[in-house]
Amino acid sequence: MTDIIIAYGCEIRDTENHTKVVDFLKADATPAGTDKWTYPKKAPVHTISLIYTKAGFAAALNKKDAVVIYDGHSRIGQGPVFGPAGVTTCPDKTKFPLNPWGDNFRMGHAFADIECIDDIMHHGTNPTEFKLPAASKGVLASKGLIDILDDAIKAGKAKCGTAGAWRKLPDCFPKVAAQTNCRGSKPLASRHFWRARKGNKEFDTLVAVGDADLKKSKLECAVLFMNSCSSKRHFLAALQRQKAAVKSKCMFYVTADSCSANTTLPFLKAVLAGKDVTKRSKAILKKMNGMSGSGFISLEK
Amino acid sequence: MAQQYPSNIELDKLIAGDGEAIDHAETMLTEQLQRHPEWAEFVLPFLASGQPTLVVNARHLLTLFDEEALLTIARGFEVDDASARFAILGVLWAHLIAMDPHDRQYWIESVAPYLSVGLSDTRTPNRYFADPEHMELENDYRICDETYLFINRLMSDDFDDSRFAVLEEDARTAVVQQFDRRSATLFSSPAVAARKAARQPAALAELTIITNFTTEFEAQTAQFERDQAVAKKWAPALRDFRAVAAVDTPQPTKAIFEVGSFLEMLSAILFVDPSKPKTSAFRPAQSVKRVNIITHGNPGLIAMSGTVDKNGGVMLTTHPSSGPDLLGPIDVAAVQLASDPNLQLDNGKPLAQSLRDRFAPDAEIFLIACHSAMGLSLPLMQDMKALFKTKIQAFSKEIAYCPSLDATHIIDRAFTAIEKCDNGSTRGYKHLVPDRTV
Repeated sequence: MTDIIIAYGCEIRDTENHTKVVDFLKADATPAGTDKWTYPKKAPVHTISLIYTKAGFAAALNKKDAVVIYDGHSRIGQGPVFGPAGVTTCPDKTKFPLNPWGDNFRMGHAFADIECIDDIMHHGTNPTEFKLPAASKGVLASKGLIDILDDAIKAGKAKCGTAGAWRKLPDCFPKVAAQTNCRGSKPLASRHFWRARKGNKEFDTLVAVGDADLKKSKLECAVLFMNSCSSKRHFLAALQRQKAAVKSKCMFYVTADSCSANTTLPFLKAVLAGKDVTKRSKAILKKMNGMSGSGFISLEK
Repeated sequence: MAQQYPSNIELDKLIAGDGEAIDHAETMLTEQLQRHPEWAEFVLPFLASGQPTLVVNARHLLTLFDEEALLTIARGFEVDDASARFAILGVLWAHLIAMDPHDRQYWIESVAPYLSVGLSDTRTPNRYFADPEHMELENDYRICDETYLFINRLMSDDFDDSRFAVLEEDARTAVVQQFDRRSATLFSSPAVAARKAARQPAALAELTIITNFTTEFEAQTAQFERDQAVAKKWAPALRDFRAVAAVDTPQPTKAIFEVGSFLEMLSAILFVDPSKPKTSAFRPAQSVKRVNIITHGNPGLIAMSGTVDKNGGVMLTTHPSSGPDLLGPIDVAAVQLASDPNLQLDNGKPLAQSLRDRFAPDAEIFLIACHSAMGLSLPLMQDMKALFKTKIQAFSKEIAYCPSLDATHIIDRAFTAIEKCDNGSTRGYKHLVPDRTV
């Protein structure tokens, strides 16, 4: 039996993409418990599980020879997030003492470059700020992120108008820093920013990410399809690092750009049809990339 | 002889449908589309329709073709529509990312020159996201950004887009412009040429077409012809065209072709052995960089054959049939007939698409004939550009043939000039500078 595990992230589980996969399974597979099916109906050789939790995703990565799909948000490199159906963009504090949008599966660079307004305020999160080191040497991050870091370190304690410098938001834009989010907290109150944009209405900051959750994994799965925006840039380096560390054979499907297509469904169908998704297949890659909004998918070792 | 076959799939209905019809018939469709790469021409315009259903289905269909349609799909970038261009990048990605690294490198180097127009396109495309309100759109890239990233991601597995991703628009523009400036040399470098040559048989880069004009002077004495030339009662024919062609055509014994019709000219461009169009291999893809057509012409007509009488009168042969055909001269009707994407050659391949695939992306066709850019020749030039997808260079004035004479005969037939022989007549044709380009 091949285990196929589809981990649906926050919000994406509420979309038509999710519904279509469930409808397909209801129509073509045999129910085998909650969110679980077998396929085909006669003499089944596959089990398909839909999961919606961080712990479930972590377990899936360790399932030997499993085909794992994450269909959700990358959170701009902060990592996959999970939650119940109907999670709003800024969840109520009473219902969600732990904000799902900030409870990431950590599998990325040492830090991510995110927006203060359109991300932190929008989702009511309060991510841990990345502590600027004395030098970028040894920091695991992409070249683009290291450039940001180097410029910020080089600028030192700078004035508010110094481009690229690591400046305190409350010192430079006190009204922005004093904003209260939908959960009643002030996540920008002591935050730094490295760039102001959109006429000083948006501020880019660096938040701690790392790969603590991924490091716990043996990556026993055969394939991981990270069907989330720009997953190659955000997660591939950490995945490859962990793969080498634990001598895994897991192969990775990743996206180079923003994506919204329901590529999970043809990928699932290909696996169910017996296609070997651990090897480069023209049929599978053409099928998925033929869909509008597929995000330039590639297969990486 | 070219034949016309009707398409047996109603592609327009599939594209207008809900997409499930394509899914259900995908195996059959793939087989049909791969047998008819020319149908890509029909599907491409739907990418610029602005209607999500049409775009999504057209994009899906275009991924079902095989490599034979790739140059056609890449040439679709000529359509000035940002969303269509973005969809084409997606289609090409689907084809190329699935290839092994050597094939991918060959194909990215083949298609990239057609995409270079995208490097200066600063419009933001419609990406037709399925569920835009649930998107965390990190980079609202423009077509120039997407084109830059597309080429570089496919050129190197090690390309790191993280630096580009953190740049603001102005800084990205500078990076793209710098790449644009060197892209022309990047894709025509000796290394690229060597890689292509390694995959293809040796090929001619320049072809010269001369046309079958018989002359009554051949039946006269050399003295008579010489005297008529002095009296300006002389005009060039095949042997004179041959003399002019031989001066400037590289590898003249292999690269000069005598033709008597438009179809024979097309065969010379298409086939390694134009005399055997049923069995000959095509010239290698993108191998032809320049075609020179040396002949007589009138506004709106480029002759492929004719006669010269002993007083220097020139008669141009017209079409053998009442309707448009490829068996006579080049005119608008013949070019439009050849442009029909469904018109097929005797070898079963589509004429227009096969022609276009023979030309390098920067190829040029020179119409070295009198008044080839005058009056009615202008729409003809436009139609030729649409047929061949190359630059067309032509002359609004006469081409003067200025044979060198002694007292008894013509001693050198290779001299030409623009309009008059006292305008600096020189041997060959490459000194003649066209005054009109489309």
